[in-house]
Amino acid sequence: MSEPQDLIPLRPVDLQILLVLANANLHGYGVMKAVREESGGRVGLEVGSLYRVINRLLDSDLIEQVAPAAGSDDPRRKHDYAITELGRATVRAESERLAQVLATARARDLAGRA
Amino acid sequence: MSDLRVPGLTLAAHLLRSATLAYPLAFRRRFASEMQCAFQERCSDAWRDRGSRGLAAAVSRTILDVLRAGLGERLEHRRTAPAPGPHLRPDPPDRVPMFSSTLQDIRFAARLLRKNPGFTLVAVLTLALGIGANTAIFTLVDSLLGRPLPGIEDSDSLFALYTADSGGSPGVSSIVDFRDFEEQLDTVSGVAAYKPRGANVSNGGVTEQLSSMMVTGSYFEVLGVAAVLGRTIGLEDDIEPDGHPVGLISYGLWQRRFAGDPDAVGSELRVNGRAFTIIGVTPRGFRGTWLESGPDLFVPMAMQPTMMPGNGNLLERRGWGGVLVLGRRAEGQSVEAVRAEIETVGAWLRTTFRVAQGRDYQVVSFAEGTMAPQARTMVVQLSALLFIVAGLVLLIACVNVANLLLARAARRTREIAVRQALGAGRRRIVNQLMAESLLLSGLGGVVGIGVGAFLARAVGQLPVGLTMATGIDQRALLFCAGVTLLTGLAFGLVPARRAAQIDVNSRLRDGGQNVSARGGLSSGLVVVQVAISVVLLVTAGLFVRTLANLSRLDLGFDPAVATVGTDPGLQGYSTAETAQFYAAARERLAALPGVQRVSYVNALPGPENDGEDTFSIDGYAPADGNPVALFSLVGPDYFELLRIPIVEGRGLLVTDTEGTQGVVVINQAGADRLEQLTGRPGLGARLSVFGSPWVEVVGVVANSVTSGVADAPRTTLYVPQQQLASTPFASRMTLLVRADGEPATMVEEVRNVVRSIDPALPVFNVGTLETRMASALAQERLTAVAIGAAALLALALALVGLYGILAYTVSRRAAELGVRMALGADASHLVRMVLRQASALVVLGLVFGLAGAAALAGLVEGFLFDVAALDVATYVGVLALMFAVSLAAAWVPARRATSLDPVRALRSE
Repeated sequence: MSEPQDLIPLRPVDLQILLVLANANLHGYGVMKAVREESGGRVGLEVGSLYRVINRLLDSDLIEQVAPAAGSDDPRRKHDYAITELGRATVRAESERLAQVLATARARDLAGRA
Repeated sequence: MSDLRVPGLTLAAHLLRSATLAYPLAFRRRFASEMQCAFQERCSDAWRDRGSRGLAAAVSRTILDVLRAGLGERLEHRRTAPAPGPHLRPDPPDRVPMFSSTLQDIRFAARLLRKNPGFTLVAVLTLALGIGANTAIFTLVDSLLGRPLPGIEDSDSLFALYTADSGGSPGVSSIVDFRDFEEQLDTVSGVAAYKPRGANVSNGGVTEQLSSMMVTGSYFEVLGVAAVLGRTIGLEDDIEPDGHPVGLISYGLWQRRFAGDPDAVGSELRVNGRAFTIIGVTPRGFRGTWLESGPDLFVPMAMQPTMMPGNGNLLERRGWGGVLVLGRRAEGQSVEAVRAEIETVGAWLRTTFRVAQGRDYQVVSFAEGTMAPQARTMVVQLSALLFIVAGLVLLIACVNVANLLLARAARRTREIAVRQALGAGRRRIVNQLMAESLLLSGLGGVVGIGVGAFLARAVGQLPVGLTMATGIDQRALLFCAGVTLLTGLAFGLVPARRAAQIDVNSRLRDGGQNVSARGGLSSGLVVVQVAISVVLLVTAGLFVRTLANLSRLDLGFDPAVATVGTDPGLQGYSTAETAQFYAAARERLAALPGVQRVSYVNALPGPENDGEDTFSIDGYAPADGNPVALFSLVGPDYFELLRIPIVEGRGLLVTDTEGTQGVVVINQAGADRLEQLTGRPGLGARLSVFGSPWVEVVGVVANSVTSGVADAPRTTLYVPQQQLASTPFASRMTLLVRADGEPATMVEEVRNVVRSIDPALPVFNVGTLETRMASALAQERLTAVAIGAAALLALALALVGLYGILAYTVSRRAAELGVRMALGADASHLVRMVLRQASALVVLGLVFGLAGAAALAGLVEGFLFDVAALDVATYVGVLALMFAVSLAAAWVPARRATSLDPVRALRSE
């Protein structure tokens, strides 16, 4: 079983998706939309790259496949994705790390105010 | 949000499906359908939000992304477990995948090749020619010697049985001996006998002479061949002599004559006038077991009396040696075991039956057994020669490309030096350069396969007397791949290692080229090229001279004669009817306007004219067996028609019939032999042929070509066909007609005369004797052309190489000579230097080349005619040619040297 410490630092796009899924379970396209929205349009993820990341996250046990939410009309939507406990823990660890980095940067007057 | 509202969605879905092929299979299985789903939602949203433009953008972005991501996924070394380690690592994957550097090398190499399209094209084409030629020859040789016949199961466990005897063609066995073997052999799972034979086959009013084969009942079972329609001939069809009029037709015949109609099975076919029932069709491509004939009809061996009319039932005569035998080893039995058992049975046969006394039973490989031993030896030798030639051409091509790469590497030394300074290992540099050469040879190999296939097919079409299965197969492809790889390594390795050995500092400093080393190696390569060209040129020259000699040969007769052959006996004529037929034909032909003379002969000059037998001489007891002669059955007026001079006595007349005194005419070689044996002149001697009563030699004629155009004259006895009119031998004859005007125009008339006597009689040998004699040299012509082409190609490549190195030398010494010229030196000095270098290379190449050609002399000898393998004229000719052509190659660099601008020369580099 891996520890969050083993999995950080995360790629930015990985972190993005984990954050999105921490909010709610989503299916593939849902993740794409959410990522675009949350990044203010700056991170545009296309289908091809998206699933590479999903593949990676699945293999690392950071997310898992779950039954789709009720009310979906598309029969091909077999499952949604949900963040796992390990995923949450890893996001927390990564956030802490980033916070430290940010604090250091601010101390040296390199980053904007909070 | 209905998908149906989005236009082109299905097409887009298909596009996506194709694009996802970029991903590895496992990934596709996992996510392909989900990706489709997400993609469609994406497209819907895009179309709804931004219309068709948005849709187009979405589709294109997605496809590109999928392709990129897919490839990335493939290349990335997949992590099966989270990466271990305490440190924080930067973002790109930490483990540099194993083949990303190779991929980089290949990509770089590809870019380099793309930037020099001229070089790439020349290199790839040269390699393709060399590799293609080798592949083509491999295919041909493999199909001739290795897997000669298609459609036969597991030919490794098959073998052929030869009976070496004192009479009859080498290799044929006795059918009665065969039956004994069949009964007694335990180490075999089956044996079968077969005999190729021409037959008159007619159905639906069309008669033609077809190649057919008599087979024993076990034949198809031993070979493991099943019929595609109906059934094959089995043991039950081979019991009663002449009692099983059934036949199997070939796939080709089935398509040709029956248009593939399934009702062909069960229908009737008249063979030699007798009604046969078709019982089945052989598989497509199956061509029996004798290379020289692809039978269209298979009949039971029991039908021999019908297939060989006039010979009676030979199936119980142990003395008749006329069948070919093959067998299959039983499972677990070795060749030695089979051989031993056959030896045992053979010994029993020899002691039990008088007529089998002198027989030697041999086991040979199946491939060997598919053609006559002399033919096979010739094929083996020719193949060896062709392989050597092709190998040399490939070698030259490799040397050429190696030289080109060396030149390129020399120019890139600065780049390489920089790389090394930046830390690129020597290995890395070698790898990168090797990637270039392997990419080049790979391209050459791919094109080479196409070239090889084309060449193999082209040669397969040519009428060289042997038909074979052609077309590139797995083994040839494997061979081609192997050759390609070796080629790439061969010409890539040396330049690569050379380039990587440069001294970084000095190269960076003087930006100069790895001068002397490259010059030395390149010179060496050019010498090799010149040597190889010389070998090929000498060989080609010898073959061309052979061809010329053969073409100029005096045939001993005038071939401007129309020919039409027929075989009434095969059609069911009695001997009396046959005699009437030929008499009528002679009469009607002679009555045609413009006809000068008419005659006929049983076999036209050529390889089939090999009817040899012994004869005895009255009053002479031979010390070691009766002499052997070639026999020709001829009609009256034969010698006058062919304009063969009658040296002594007379020719054969119409009056020489069965009722009159038996006569024979011999050729000069025969007369000399008789004199040699008996001490008495040939004319007037009395001989016994075919066991007949004594016949008198009434004439001696000049020697003429009988079997092979290049053969030495053999003792030939010309027997009047009319005096053998009541034997079956008198049936198969080719009519000869000499008329005013072109023989070709006469051919149709002769045919019409035959038709007018009997419209159902099939004919063969239709044409003129001229074309027949010309085509007899087809194989020699082909060989000469092939080797000549190879030689010219080699010469061209060698000259290009020579030119290259001379030009390089000039440019290298340009600075030095610029100085000299500025100081007032004469340009002619440089010219002389160029010429000196050229001659040095050429002379060295000539020495090696002539030595090499001499070494090949032994192999080449067998193919030559009237030319010694070490023919001085040819060697001298090649020498002169090489010099002349090399001077031409040296000319341009020399000229360029004289027009050097000293200032520019000094300034450059």
